Amino acid sequence: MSIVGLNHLARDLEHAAGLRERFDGAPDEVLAAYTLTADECDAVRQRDAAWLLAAGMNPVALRNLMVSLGVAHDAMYPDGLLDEAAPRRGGA
Amino acid sequence: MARLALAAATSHVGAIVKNAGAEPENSGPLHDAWRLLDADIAALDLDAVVVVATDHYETFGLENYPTFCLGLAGIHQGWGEFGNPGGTVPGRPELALSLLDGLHRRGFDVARSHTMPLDHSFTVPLTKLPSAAAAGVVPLFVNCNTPPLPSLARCVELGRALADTIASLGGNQRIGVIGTGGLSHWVGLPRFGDINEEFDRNLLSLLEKGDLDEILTWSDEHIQEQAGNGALEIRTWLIAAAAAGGSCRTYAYRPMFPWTVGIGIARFETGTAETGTAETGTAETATAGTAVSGPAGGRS
Repeated sequence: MSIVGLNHLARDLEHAAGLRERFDGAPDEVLAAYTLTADECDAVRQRDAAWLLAAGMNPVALRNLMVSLGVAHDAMYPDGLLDEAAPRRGGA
Repeated sequence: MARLALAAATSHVGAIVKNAGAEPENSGPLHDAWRLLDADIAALDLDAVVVVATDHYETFGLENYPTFCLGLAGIHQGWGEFGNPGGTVPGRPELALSLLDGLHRRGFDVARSHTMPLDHSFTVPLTKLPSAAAAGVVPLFVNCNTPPLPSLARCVELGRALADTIASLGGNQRIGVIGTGGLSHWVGLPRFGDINEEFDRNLLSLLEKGDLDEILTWSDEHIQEQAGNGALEIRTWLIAAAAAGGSCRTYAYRPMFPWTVGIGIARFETGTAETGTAETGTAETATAGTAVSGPAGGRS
């Protein structure tokens, strides 16, 4: 997992003026600036906290990322955790 | 000769100030306890307070993540992240430098930051304890969420080294140590919102007896399973407890479900002053805290 890239993204979305708005308008353009895999980009676009957690993202950084993306702390896992077989995403 | 005049610990979740009046029958006694502790601090006329806390990826990122770090700024800026208190708090860079030197001499190669902005783990307690903020603050960061963490035993050793360093300083300074964090809570995990009151009360009972040895038998896996990843922050409590070297009095504890955290407030015996009355007061609706001082931090 691209731990550093995801942590940078989380911090920038929280701290960099206008980045959240740019992400809302053109997420692929924003994500291209970070060293992330296609699956990770997809999980961020989908606000898929369960996948990111299963893939190894630190839960504190993940909380920051999700809240910065507009997902409330208590709404991060609407479907619970992934099965043991996870993480899989798009075959990447 | 300087002395450790006060040691205490408190939880630090942002909801303490952002949703201050929730469940008045429970939040009221907690706010009373912070007022009591603040009065203790004011009465001692402290020259500085070492605030032992952590960070939630606001100040430190993975490009450079220390285990322990002292803040040496003349003024520390609060982030004000996610609606938490921002503002500024005066630092004590000369004292911080002396502590850095003293800890190095005692085997703790603590990092230093000459800027070190502060997240809610510092600014919430300082909002609730304005006398501590007014005394001037030396922030001491402890890694509580990015493994490998310093062991609980290492944190106890750090607390003892901190007390020894303070005792070795010249002058007549009265210095406080306040740990912040915990108690049970889950951050960024499906169990967010859960609280383990039994774990929290057991921890407080052990601290009241001064029984750090029992706590030191706990693994991080045990703590996380029983009390969540947020309970790994009890490291800051252990540092304060070890610095004091004595038992504590719990000023208040409540499992605050609206705040999603088991909230504890305690003062440790340092052998230098009387403590207040535990579990004080009647419930009352408290008002939300404000910034530590000055305008909110420059955050969008």
